[in-house]
Amino acid sequence: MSAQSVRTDTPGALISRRRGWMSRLPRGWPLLTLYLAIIGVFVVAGIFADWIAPHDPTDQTLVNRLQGPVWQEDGAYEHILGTDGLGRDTFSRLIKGSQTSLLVIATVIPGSLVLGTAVGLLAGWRRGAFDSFAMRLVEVQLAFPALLFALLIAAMLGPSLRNVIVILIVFLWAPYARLVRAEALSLREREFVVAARTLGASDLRVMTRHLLPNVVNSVVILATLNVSTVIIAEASLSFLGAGAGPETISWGKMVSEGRDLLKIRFWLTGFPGITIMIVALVGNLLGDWLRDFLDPQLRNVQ
Amino acid sequence: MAAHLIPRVLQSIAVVFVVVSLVFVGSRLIGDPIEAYSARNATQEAIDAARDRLGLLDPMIVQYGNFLWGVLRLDFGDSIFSEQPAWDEVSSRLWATVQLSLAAFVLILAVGVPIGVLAAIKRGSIPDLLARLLALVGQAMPNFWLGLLLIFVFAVQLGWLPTSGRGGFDNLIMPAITLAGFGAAATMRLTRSGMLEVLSNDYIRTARAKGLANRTVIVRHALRNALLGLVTVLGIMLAQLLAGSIIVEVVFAWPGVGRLIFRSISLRDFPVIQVGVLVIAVWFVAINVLVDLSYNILDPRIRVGSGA
Repeated sequence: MSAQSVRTDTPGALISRRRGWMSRLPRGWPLLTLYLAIIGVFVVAGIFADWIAPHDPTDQTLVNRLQGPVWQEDGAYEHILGTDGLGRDTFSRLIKGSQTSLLVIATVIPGSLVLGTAVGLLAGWRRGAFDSFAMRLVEVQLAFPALLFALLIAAMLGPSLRNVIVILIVFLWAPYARLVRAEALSLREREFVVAARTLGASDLRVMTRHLLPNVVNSVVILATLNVSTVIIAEASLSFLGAGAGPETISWGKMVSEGRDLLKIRFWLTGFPGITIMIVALVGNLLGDWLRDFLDPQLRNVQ
Repeated sequence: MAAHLIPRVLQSIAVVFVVVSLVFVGSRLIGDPIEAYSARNATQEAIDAARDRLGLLDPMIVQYGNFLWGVLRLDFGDSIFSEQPAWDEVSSRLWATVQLSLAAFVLILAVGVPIGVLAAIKRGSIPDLLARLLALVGQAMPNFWLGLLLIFVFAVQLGWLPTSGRGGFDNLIMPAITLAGFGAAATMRLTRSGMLEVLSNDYIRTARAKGLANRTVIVRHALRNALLGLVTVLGIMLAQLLAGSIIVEVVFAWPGVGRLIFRSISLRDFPVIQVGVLVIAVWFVAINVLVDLSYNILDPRIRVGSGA
């Protein structure tokens, strides 16, 4: 395939021979910049929530309850996105809620990634009994109705963010393990791995120095695509009352709180719903972009 | 075929056994149902009598044995909340959930596959772009929010459909769409990529070169092979729909098994939780076995016994 026949809407690792720094940017960079900007806003809002939020997100002023967003007749710039049934500022609660989502993402994704990758490497490299056991476990996990079990566990231990994080790690390590194992199985027959083995490299060295660098791309792609899974899972659990604890502000809980007022104040469910969707969407788009970028073979397929 | 089937079925029974045992342990750990129900001024004698009646005073291992023996006879004891047999509580709501899941599955097939095929054939066109956008949005939308959005637009604003409950066909529309949303988007995307992959094969070029009509090439040669890769995914989706209906049933007050399990968890009504989870687990593994089998039948390249 010549460089000209590559679709222009997909980014590529190919650096064109044209001169100038613009040509060194990856394909699709304007969109990529947009995705990164949105993710950046989300991350900054999450980390600095307490400084950015214009109001205390738990501050109840009943005089101002159920104000509409600023573009509606009863709206005011004081509360840009309006207030909820207890007079709390929706915009500040959204910002504080991003902290919750960010915390869950920043713990669940590295946790499940490390666990799954370690199991996958070991299973694919060592084969044998550990491999069989690990893969049966993966099959069972992938076949479980995860939400149902998350509900049960939340009922057992009480709703708390820590439980949500543990539950999500336990349910999300399996896809990493399966992916890494499959790649390790094909890598272990490759010459450079056989050569390393022949030179007397230890199991640990082969796995970390030879196998790991070759599975990193796939793992990073999967992790990025997992952002939406984690956000939606946390929101769903919180929506059902099995997620974030009573004192934690979460987008899923905001949707659930606004549910009773759906008929008169749609925006109370609308804003958190749209926010969840935008972050999940950008996560997926970024994952797609990364896959095209890191794995050009798949470019024509996806 | 039988040689392949038997270990698969045994393995599935083992999975169901593990799930059921986990639920037994889990539902004992969520708390003492008697504490949740008894009046504040209940005497210790009354509480003990109630515990005795439910078999809660027996050693755990005896309770577990009784439970497993009950599973074999489909006797799970009475619901603590309604005092009706737990099996009846679940089975009377099963049809509502199956109906909802099947409606969603039909929607997934009817929407996801044709749009995916169309997008692949007209790759790069405006319809393709729209289809990809729809798939992206559909996969990023939490189903509880999709449900509330539909309620707001079609029930509150337009007044076309009832907000919740079960009854006529119009009650089914929004819950089915909500449940199907994610799956339809994923199917659309997978059908598109599957078709593109198949269309790049040499035998498609051969079929075109020997002068077959475009329609024949697409339907007879490309679609058939693309669908093969979809069977597994669609099977998993059908299995997930039944479990995924919990949220949708809660949002639309749909009187099914999902909502019953959700309510029973908060009521600590463990006999009902156990039956509900058992039913969903059996449905899950049964579909997995069927998918495995259909794959063996549909794809002659995968012969029984080789590989998974």
